[in-house]
Amino acid sequence: MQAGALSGLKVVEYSQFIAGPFCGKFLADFGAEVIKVEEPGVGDEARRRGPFPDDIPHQEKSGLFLFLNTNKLGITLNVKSATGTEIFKELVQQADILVESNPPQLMKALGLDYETLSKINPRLIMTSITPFGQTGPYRDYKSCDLVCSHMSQIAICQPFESRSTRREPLKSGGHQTDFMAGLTGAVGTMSALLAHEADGLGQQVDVSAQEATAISCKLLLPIWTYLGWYRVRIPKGTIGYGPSFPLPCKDGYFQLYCLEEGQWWDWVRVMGSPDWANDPRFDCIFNRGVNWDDLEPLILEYTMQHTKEELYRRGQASRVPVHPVNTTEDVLKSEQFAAREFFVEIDHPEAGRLKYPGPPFKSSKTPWQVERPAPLLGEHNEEIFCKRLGYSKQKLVKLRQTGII
Amino acid sequence: MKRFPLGGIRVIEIGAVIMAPYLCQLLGWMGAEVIKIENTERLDFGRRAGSFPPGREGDPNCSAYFGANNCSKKSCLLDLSKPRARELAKEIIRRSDVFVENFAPGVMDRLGLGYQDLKKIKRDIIMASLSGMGQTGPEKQYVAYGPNLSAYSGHSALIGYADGEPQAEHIAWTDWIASTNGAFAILAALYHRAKTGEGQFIDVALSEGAALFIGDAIMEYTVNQRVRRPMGNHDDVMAPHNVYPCQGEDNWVSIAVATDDEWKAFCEAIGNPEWCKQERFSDRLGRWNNQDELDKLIAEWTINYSPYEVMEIMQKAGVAAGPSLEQKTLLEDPHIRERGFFVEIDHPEAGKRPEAGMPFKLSRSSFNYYPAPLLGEHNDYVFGELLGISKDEIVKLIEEGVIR
Repeated sequence: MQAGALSGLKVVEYSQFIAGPFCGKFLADFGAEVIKVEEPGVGDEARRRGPFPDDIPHQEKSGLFLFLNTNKLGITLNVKSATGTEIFKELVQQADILVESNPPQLMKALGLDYETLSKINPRLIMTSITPFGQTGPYRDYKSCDLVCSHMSQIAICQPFESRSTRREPLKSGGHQTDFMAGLTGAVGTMSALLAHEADGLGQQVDVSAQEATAISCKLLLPIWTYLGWYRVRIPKGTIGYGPSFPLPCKDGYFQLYCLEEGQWWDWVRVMGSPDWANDPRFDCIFNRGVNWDDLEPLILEYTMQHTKEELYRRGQASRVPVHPVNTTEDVLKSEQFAAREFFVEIDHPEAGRLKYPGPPFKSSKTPWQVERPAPLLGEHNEEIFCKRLGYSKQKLVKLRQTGII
Repeated sequence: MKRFPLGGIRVIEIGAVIMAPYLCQLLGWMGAEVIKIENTERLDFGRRAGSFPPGREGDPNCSAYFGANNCSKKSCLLDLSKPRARELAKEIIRRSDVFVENFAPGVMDRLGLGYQDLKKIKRDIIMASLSGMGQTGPEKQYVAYGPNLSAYSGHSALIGYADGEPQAEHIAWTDWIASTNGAFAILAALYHRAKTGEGQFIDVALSEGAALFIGDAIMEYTVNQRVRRPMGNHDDVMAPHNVYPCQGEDNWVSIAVATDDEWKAFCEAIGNPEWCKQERFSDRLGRWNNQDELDKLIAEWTINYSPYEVMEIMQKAGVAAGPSLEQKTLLEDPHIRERGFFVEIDHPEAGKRPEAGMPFKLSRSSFNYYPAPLLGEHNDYVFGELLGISKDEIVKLIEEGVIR
């Protein structure tokens, strides 16, 4: 096992579900020691979310939890009890980094806000990943991926071009805003760590999921600034080039996106150079947009005869930007992902051997690696409380009996 | 005095469009000195894309697409088709810590600027190559833009109305993932270099970072061989969990109820109408099974309010809710304003414009915001000061078309 890029760093993670744990995963997968603190008995919310093998709920078998918590050590601690708070502080005192995603008012009430923790550990980097950040009127508001998608401007732009522009705005698939907040937290943590290298001092990294997500709309802002308006959710064909939306084919959907005029004409040749292609209504990017409703069925005459795989290979052979709309099954079976060994098999004592998404990137000297699967609930209690903090076995038993751990 | 996290780090960018440019802007904001090597013959797409301020249409120094992704950088010109320009590029990189590029796999190798070449002249260089599908594998040379890669990485198949077809994601979402992912890779490599003196090569495939962002759906397949489909604004377990129409045109509010306690608070907040008491809505499963009906009833209530009024009512009751903000309302949102998310950038040619700032805040360090460079604005600094080339020689290099 090679030393990871972050080996030697000590991290405490006190957060659940996706955003905080995804940040902690980046640190753990590149070699940091991440101690994950979970609530006794119930653990991280992701343990209850699934997906579970055969749909039988089991706190050690949630696919979401297993994916997000690789390489971490797991302990249980009721941080909200007075004794628990003190033990938590002991852990933080020895740590370089604390990753947390709790409401600011809760951390304050527990006496675990940055101001207090920085007094017991001035070199601490405290990365707080919350829906709206540490300041401002909404800082303690509740949110989730749905609300964040809508409050960060992305939902009102989706679907971008469609037939039904009067329909409601649309959130992205899955939990995009949670993942983005978590990744942004990982970047913020590294940024603070490099600042720390210079002077040995810590600081708080304040991530608002709303802002981390709103970044992705930064190219719309100048249009609004200069034109005074920006139309969201536009009719199919408005943009002209592209199209910017998936089209159906024999076995699903594919994405064609001809940004350059030459790419469209290459695509016409892929389709066998049908006569209609020379119709003046379709002779340039602008006209193809204006006459999209007439054009689409003509394209479909060809594509409905072919699978997305055929369209992909034929199109790319002619340098046309065409891709399959891959389902998760397709992604898992993709030759390219396989050739790059993106998916990895990980053994877990309860869930067994499963395929997981792997490295976020390839780094030649300090590769991503899996040393251990996600922890069982409280798996490392003895290791951390006895060996690390020096508690006696008797004390550990007492803490267990009283529900602290 | 406040300091920048990446003070003293020099980054060279040969990049275009979003991936490398936005990544390097993040590093520039963190205080690294970022030098972008450009070519007037083959401009970064961003310099041509617009939007342009009135009266400056087509001016590559005024394109807002470029301005939005290239703040806090310096610009120098080199025509890399010329051998002398490639030598100079190497000299610049030799004096740097990080090199970031996002051209097609193999292009840098052909220019003599691949990792194997660079590590010979700068042992501990950190080089990051960003691409759509990676530097290796049978499909590495395939042509792709943002919407293609959203489709390919499995994102498009997950977004859409529950009754309809898959949709393309909002513009270039997966590009921002790739840039942020690449930024983490580089910062981790810098940390490793500080500890060990080792540099390294980083291969960022947009498609792989994007696939991590649908890790939950991928695990659903590996665990149960079940393929996820679009489900609109709905959720696996929460209901109500949707967006509802409000007063006015195209005004919407999102509401998500997670627990039975939140449901009680929700009912109370809307005045406990008769329908709230129906037994089929009384527990989580019942609400989830009957959510379409529930959504209709809630919409009859929300339509009487503005999105912000609904947010205030709900949040006061402890229920997650918020308006569907668009550009104007996001800019004017009191929370966003108080946190200073948008920063004003005053560009010497394009003028003042608000710009989305850093995606996170640091309590002690500060960020280095300044406007995007004019084409070749820092030629004298880079070739004269950094490489020590004489003024006469620089003039000659310009005449020969090496610097252009």
